[in-house]
Amino acid sequence: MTDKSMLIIENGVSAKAYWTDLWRHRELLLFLAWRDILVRYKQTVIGISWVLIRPLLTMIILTVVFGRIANLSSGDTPYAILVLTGLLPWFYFSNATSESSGSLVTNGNLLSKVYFPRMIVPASTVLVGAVDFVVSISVLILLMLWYGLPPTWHLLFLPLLGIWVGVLSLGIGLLFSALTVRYRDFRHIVPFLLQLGIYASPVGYSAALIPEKWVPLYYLNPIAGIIDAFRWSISGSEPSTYGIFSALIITAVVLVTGLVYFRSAESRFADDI
Amino acid sequence: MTSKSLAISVENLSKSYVISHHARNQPRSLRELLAAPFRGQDAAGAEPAPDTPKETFWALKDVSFDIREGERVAIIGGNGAGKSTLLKILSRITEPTSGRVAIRGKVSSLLEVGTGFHPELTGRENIYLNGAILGMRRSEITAKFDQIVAFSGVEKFIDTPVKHYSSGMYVRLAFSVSAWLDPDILIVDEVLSVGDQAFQRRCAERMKELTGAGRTVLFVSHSMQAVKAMCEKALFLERGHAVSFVSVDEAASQYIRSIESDGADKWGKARFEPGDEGVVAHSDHPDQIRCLNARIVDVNSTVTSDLSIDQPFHVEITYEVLRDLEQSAVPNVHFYDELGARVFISLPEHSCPLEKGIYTARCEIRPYEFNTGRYAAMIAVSSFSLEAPLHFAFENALRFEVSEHDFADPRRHGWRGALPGLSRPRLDWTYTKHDRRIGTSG
Repeated sequence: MTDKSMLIIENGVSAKAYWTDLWRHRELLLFLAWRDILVRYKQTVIGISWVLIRPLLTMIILTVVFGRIANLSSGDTPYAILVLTGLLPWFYFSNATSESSGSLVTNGNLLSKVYFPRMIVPASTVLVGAVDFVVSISVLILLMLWYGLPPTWHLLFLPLLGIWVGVLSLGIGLLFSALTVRYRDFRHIVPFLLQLGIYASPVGYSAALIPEKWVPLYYLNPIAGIIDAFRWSISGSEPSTYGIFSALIITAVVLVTGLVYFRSAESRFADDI
Repeated sequence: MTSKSLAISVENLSKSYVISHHARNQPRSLRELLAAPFRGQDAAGAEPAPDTPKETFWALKDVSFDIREGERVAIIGGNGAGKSTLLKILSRITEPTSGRVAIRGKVSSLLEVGTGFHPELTGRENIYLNGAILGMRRSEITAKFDQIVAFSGVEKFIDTPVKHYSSGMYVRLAFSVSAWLDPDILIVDEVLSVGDQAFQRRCAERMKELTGAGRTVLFVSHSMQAVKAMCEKALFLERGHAVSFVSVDEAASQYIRSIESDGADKWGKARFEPGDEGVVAHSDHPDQIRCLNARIVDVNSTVTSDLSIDQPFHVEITYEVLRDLEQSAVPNVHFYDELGARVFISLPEHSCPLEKGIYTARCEIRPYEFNTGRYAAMIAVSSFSLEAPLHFAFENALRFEVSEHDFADPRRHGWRGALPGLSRPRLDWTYTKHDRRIGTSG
């Protein structure tokens, strides 16, 4: 009982120890992610394989539609690899973003009963998405073996790219989860935007097909640049340098916006929910 | 331990909620937000049109007190006095509007047991999850795990999903996790009345252990008996103001006196609408069911709070099911005496229909179910799902007074004085004549 910490509660003062508090609650972040994963696999019959089946089936369909029927070019890489290297980051991004956007409302009973830095809630759902992503990489490994595609040193960047998608999803998730507490409409808006997003991103096709004059506009979508980088790390296809820089800047802007808005709204969550 | 340094210091603490009676001041959907400029109202709702009735409700106003290390302090006051708001601020769930609190030491609050329990997870998994939510470290939970399980008495089912638990087992396990927290300051909100008698005794013993050892305790209860048994001092709150902070006996008698001096006209409240002042609202899923109003109706179909002991009356709750529901929706009424102790809860046998629409649930209260006196009612609609059991609940929504006008009740046998108790049910009595030898052998 010697090292008692002093805590001051005042309007708007919670900010001071926020980040140390967040660090102290890091185990809760893992526990919430662990809960979500555990619950999901207890409630589904085929369990973890669901994470593999979804990208696999989607890959087959997109490969047939874009590669065979529309006969789009995939350069030197097999079309299936092209699609899968787009799908894995896309699924990661869209799951993490949609889950984290709704996470505060879903966990409303926690927010109104216990204190912890609220950022943990959307962050834990992004972590769940990251775990799914790591598991789904095994589909890619199998496919690379199938096509006899040798890995290059570019592959070392894959973990970094995974973290990048996580950071982007967290930024968007922070913004939308806080907005959803206030305006429940965002529950409908986010899935809708994500549904459109899959066409606006180079998931089923190569970004090299985009006409020159549309490139600046196209790469305002940060996921487009990130998918380019993924393809570069797996199959060595040339990425758009412009796209990658644009994605980096937009990620930073989104993260800062998300953090600032979330922190400004955080003290009202328990009252608004 | 240093000699009695301050554990909690509260200075001019205030918390206000802005409530507007017709349009809610904060747009809650984009439609409201987008439409606001056309109604001459600022989009953020910061500057209301002059015709929008709006008022600031002070849940707490200028409350100041100091608690020294090792003190056990009760917080008492009627429903809506600000007790929960104070606890929520102290446990950092919500921020104060103004004022300052300084807390020395680690705080744990037991505002509700089983927060974050997930029905699909096993008892073991839930102990870890709940412990982490309450701020325990993994290593700490592992160290205390066996004690927690032994205390709860659910050893056999520790690897069974808690959805298969009986509600008693569920609550016992939930309380057990909380009971092994190790804070400097413990905030307790009436969680002791869980489980069977044996378990309650164990809880009481554990609370004594916890509250010994120089630990500071804040305890909220409606039961003056429990408060007096556990605490030395009490903070008496009334409508958000701190009336006194004195010895527990003195505060309890002040509280009782204040209730008695409240005029009858101030007590009665036969109609309720969400947003009424002094009503505390709870809701787990506001998007499913919305409360419209509630009323007390006497035998002549008059809406009144003055009821007669020998006549039946109805409590009516009208609510709107906003979309077709999957979970059940069970209306219920909780009756409290004027001190705030629960008299009983009434529930219907069947759930309300789950289709979209507006419904009125009526509960008939038979004559003599309540004794003469003042009562308050909390109205609620519950889903009874483990993680989010409440559609809505309004504490202190209705208040009524039961009186006895003529004393012709044959059971009075001409006695015109008070017959104490909260209920006066018409029970059946029989007489048996005994043989004199049995009666006198002794």
